[in-house]
Amino acid sequence: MAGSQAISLAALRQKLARVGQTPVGERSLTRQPVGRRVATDWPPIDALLQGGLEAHAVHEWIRAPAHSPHPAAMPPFAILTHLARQALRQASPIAQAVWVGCRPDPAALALGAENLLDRSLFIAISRRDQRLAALDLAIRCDSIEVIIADGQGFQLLDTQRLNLLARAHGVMLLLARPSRDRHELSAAQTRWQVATEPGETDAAIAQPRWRIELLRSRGVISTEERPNWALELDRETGVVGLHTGLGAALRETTPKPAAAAS
Amino acid sequence: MLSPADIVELPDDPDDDRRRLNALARWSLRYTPLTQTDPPDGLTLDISGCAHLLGGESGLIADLLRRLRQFGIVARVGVGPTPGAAWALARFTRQRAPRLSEEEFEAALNAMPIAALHIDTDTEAALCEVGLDTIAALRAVPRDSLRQRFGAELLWRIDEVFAVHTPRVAALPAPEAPRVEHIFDGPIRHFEIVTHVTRDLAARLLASLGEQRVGVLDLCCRLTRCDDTPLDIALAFSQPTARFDHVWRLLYTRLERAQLGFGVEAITLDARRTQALRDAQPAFWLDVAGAMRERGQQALGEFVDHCRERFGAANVRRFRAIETHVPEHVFQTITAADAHFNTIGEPQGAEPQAGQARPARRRSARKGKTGALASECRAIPNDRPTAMFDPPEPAQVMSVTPDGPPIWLRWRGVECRVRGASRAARVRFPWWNDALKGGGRDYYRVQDQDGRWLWVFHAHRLNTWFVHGEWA
Repeated sequence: MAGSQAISLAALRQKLARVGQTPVGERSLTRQPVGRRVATDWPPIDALLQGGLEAHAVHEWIRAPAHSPHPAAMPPFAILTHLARQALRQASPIAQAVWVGCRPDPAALALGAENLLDRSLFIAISRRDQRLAALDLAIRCDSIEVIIADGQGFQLLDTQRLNLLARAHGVMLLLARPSRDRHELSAAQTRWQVATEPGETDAAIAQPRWRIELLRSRGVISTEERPNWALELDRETGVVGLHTGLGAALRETTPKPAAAAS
Repeated sequence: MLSPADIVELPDDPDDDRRRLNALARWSLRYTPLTQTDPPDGLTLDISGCAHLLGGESGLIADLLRRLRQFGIVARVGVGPTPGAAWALARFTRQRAPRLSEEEFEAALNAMPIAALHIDTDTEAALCEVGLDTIAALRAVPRDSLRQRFGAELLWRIDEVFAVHTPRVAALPAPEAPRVEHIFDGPIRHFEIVTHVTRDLAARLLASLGEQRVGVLDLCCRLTRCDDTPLDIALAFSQPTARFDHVWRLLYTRLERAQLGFGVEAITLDARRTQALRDAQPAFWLDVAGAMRERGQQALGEFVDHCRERFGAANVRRFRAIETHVPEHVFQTITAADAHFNTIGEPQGAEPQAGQARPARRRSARKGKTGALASECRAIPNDRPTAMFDPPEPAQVMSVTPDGPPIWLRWRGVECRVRGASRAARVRFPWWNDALKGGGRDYYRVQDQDGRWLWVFHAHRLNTWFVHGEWA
């Protein structure tokens, strides 16, 4: 009896100490400390960026012009979904992702073992001022960890303001921008250019592939360097990973299952 | 034998009894929508057409008695063809819930004292004086004599018990929505005054709701305008709230846009729909995870409210995966206006044991109606495009053989040379779906010269090609 009382008192003391350290009602409950990085799960990129993308900043993903006939074409959702998944994986279990754009498409979110559908909220708006207003609201919401938004037509002042807000409120903001926006000045922490890259011609083994180019990363690399990597979407697992060529070689050596033909 | 210690004295409070009886009547709406109170201690439920939901009349009675017993209420139940018969059976039989056949029913009623007719005490005393102390004795007397001596009401009572006519059970009146009102001495055209008064009213209303641990879901602010139609400002909340800051922020933005016309004569705030607030634990007793969850839900709810107010409820969406092989039906859109918007992502119930059937999932696989989380949804193969086009976009396609894969296509006005294409994957549509009418499609994964992967299909019935998605 005395032993159980001692245990419960010790548990109560621990609880008191925890409550004292993390005051309820403070932002620290839902947000991680400033300066945190979100690992991309692409080792060379994480190594170059000293651990990954900065968690409380704006990151821009721009579609490369040469490979897309449409100037309004957006960078691949698969890559942005992968990054959102990474951000949520490292956040609290109640954290949510918000998607702001004209045509919400949940298809990419349902792929893979770890789906984002039940942790995602979509705001379907197209006008620039509305998108900025929605981003303003979303960044200030405590339970939102990552925002993926259509950044079409955003100007330097917009991105400066968003970057400051994201830093102040501890949110990662991924802006998808079309190729015609690539010359627009921006205050984003990192800027990436994504181009589609042809893969193997055999459709049974070929996977969608993209080449990403780091145009700018503040304080990490100079603007002259433009490191680039090839990413590949594994259709079987729904995971976007670095293309090493090993996967294709492996697939060539293993016999094709009958279902792969379809 | 009772000892004085067993006796509990309570003051007689008829108002409180009536209030509690009304509350019990509202609670009993779970059994039937037609419920009325029978003061001082009775309830009348019209269970016609409702009993089968609980396994028939016996199931319903068992459930009702069990739940009342859990409340500490000892009840007697009578089931009859009319409210009068049920009233008599509940009060003048030995069993607590008698189950009688038609013959037994008639005999039991005939044997009952005339008090079972629910008549006033004067009439009852007068009938007893002349020796008519049972219903059988009363029915033996000619009806004309009874009418002349005791009035038509007595005959009406007898007819009601023996189902000659059946009075209807009125529906319980809806409880009045909490409201506050301010009437001005004359029309007010100053926006500041209107805002100030509305703010005070909102604070009063929410404080009173908060005291009852109730939050508002639908709020209506009515500005009664001079020489004009009243202006209703309706606000809807995604979860019950009694937080003044949140409500006022939304209400103020709507007030700013209100046309005051020739002046406002009265302001009314009406909490049209309310719901019990979640019991908030004091911070001291909460662990960090609990506090995070509570705050996170509140913050997200307020964000949704702001977004639906600003961009419209239809533009604030969540998606739910559905088990169907028809590609365009895989995701069900749920807007913020839907009642179950907030339940997305919550646990769907315990997993069934091994060998136990999954009725909901089987049904959904056939009809494609019931939602499931994508992680559970086995009908979404990973080999689907990451961006789907709704509706599919028409394309011109050239192939070597009539049913073969494309070798060239023109889509969105641009010609694409095909580097490689997969073999066909055929999707057949259900014959019972009128829109699709049992057609079929052959899907191909196609890579163009730029490396883009498209999901192209040939519609059999239309004999046309479409691009349905892209791995992008």
